[in-house]
Amino acid sequence: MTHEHEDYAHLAHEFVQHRLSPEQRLRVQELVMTSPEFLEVLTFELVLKRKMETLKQPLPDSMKRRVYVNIVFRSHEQLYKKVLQTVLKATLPAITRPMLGLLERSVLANEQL
Amino acid sequence: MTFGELYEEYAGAVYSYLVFKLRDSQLAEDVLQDTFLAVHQNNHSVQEISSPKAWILAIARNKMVDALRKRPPVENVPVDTLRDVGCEPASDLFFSEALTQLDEVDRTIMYGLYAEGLTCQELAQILDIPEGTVKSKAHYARKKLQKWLQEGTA
Repeated sequence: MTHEHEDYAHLAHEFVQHRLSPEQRLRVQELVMTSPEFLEVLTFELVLKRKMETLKQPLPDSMKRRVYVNIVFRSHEQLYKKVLQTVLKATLPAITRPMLGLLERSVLANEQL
Repeated sequence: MTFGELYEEYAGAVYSYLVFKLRDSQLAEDVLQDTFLAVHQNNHSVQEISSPKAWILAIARNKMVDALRKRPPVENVPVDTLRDVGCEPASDLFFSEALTQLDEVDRTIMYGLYAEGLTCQELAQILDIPEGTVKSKAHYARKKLQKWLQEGTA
């Protein structure tokens, strides 16, 4: 890879991604007019960008809402559990601690009490 | 940025990246949720991060690896299945097939650079490899794709 090729590829890529300064954009315009080699690199960059963008998958609105609600719910649930654990540990007598430990580990979750 | 803003801005890009990598929208949804749950729990550190998008995509990549470890092994997905997942028109099918000839990391780099507009530095952070490696891999992947596409359309 020659230095010039590397420079062309970088310049063309950044141009396509709209990340060039006004001076660099002027240089691109100049190269487009004067260098067939640069024009070829730039054309391929545009082809790649267009084709790669066809691979993007939009996030369905219903899924976006569902995931957001689940995250907020799970975060609140975790917070609620932490608060409850702290309160119970501070208020319940020491003799109940083993039972609390079992409940925390959900040992009794499926038991018929 | 608040969690709501981060979610609004980047959930789409993360989902698209996950579907591209996993080719399974159900698993992508699960990993999307795990990713943003982790973002929610570490939201305080986002202020110190130069690229929130790269940070979130790096979390997504780690969560995806975890999810794939837990999932029972499946056979390699044939190229035809890729067509079902993507919505590309017939004219782009040859390109999809050419893309599958690249190795996994090269494919991710090309997707990140062109579909998501990430920089080599951001991709290096996401993939946990040196920036120079990303640049070099991108250069050779570009050359390979160009060659295959020229041969395919010749």
